[in-house]
Amino acid sequence: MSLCARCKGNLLCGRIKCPLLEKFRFLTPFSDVEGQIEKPTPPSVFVGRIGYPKVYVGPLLTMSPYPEPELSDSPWLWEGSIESVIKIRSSLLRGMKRVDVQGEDRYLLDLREAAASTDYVSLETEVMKVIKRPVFDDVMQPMGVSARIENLRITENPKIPQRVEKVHYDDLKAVNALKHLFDRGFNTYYLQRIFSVGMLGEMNKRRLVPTRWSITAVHDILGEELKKEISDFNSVNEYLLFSFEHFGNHFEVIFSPGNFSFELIEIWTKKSFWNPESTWVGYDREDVTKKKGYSTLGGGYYAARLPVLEYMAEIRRKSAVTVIREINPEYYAPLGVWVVEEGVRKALAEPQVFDSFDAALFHASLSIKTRREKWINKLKSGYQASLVEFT
Amino acid sequence: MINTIVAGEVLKSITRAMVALVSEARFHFMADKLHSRAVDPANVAMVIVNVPKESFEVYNPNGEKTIGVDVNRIFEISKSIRGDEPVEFKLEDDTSLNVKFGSVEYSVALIDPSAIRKEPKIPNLELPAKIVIDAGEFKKAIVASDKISDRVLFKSSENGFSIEAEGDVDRITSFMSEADLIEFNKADARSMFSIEYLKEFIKVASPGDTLTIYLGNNYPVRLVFEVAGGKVGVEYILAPRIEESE
Repeated sequence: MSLCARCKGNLLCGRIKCPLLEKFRFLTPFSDVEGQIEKPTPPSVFVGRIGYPKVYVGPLLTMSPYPEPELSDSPWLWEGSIESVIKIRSSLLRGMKRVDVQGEDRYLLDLREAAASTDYVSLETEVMKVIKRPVFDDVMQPMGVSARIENLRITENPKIPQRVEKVHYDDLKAVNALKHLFDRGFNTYYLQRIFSVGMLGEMNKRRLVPTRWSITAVHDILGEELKKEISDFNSVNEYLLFSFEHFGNHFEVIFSPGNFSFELIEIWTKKSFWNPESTWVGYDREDVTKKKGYSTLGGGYYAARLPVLEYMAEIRRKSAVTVIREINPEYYAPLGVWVVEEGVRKALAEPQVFDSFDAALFHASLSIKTRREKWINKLKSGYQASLVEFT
Repeated sequence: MINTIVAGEVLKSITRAMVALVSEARFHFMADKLHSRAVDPANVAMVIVNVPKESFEVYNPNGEKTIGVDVNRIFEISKSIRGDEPVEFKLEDDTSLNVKFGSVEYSVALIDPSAIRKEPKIPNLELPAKIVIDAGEFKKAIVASDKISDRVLFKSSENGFSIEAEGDVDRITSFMSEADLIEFNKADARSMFSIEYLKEFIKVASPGDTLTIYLGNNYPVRLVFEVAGGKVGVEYILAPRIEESE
């Protein structure tokens, strides 16, 4: 088992810097900025995790004159090559100021208003010091240059939906607030943003949530809530196979008749980003009961599960689902778990229909480059039955 | 309208039994007993609580009556009541419930029963094996298994009854022969269950309480507890985890 494939930049090897991530430290997309600036934010914010509970927090500002600043924080619109995504994200300057996660001041107020806006808004800030070190991460989207900033001011009225304001001023549990807004069409990226800046949850429990954690937290919370919703549905009655590929990530998704269960096989092929030396296969699964502990496959597991559950809610059918994700050498830089979330979401459109799991699996394996014997034995274990089956 | 007096331990047992699966429930004050049942949101487990009228010091339902209760709240309050302390229940109208113990009077709003998730039908299960066991022993086996796995295998055979869990590098077997069991019919049966649920269920029982297990093959299990000195009957029905055959 390759250490890098499991670690994904968390320095389990004991080195000070991740040699794989270091390869991307050359990017310097725009010339130095210092002093007073006024720039739009897509909106996008970043909450760091280093030093928790005192963390670096700030907006991501669009530096180059893009026609639509929103594009740089809308992963569902991204397509093409990895370079194109890195290019879009490198146009952002990450503002940082050290703040207590339970803090309350003008800086955070303005940041929250910007974060909750559905349109881009202009921000005025003072750049103190620029740090040229792009960030790549397995969970988060890449980010360009960072800068210490002070004194944030919103210079135009943010467009904040009424429903969001209502939830913000309500003393509602974060789980309920997230589900409420999700059911009313707010996408996960928006929800992650307002969740990470501490706008949701019971009043006395609100705090900033590091972006990295908030992404997986939102995927996990919504996934678990949807599981309760779909468990009462009838099952799909055929074997459905869906496929999709983008950014060097290939997805095969099989829906089988039966109770809800979810399993993910991840195949990191030789020379793909986290796995330079040999092919690594990982596996995790769950059933309708709450997933115990953090998945050994990391945030990508929860990112793959959510769109699968969304689809079940949409077709009003439950299903036992198998997802196979193969990561090819083309994926040479980590782009964040949205690659998985959007990959699976886009896959779930037009299925091919089969009359057995074996037939669907055989068909799926034809599109997987790694030899079948290397991963197929990972598929195993049972599932949680429902009382309904016995009445 | 309703006026009853019951020992603190009975109230604790009833509410603890229900909160293992739900936070709100309907309670039926019937002529001969107090009854409640519910399933968890995932439809994996069911709880059925019966308290015969003999278990109450005073039981005056004044005809049959159904109320909707936030069991979580009452469970929290009941933690501060002594086991042998008498608790008075009063329902003045359809909107609130009064719980009185010692000098404390607690009043809580009722929930419209029709707003609570529909009650399940009790499934008619044919389960070959019957095992009667001390609830404390059962509890020990589940608590230990929880340390290494998220599932346990219940196995009944001619030799005895066992609870088994398997971790990555370790294994727990809790085996009881006929001599260790209160009653045992030696039937063959085996099913696997999620510990997540079982560990909530066992909270209702104490050592000395009796537990009757009805077990089948890849079939739901019935766990029938006699708690609070036999005054409260708590039954859980749990759907199995199905093992895929290789």
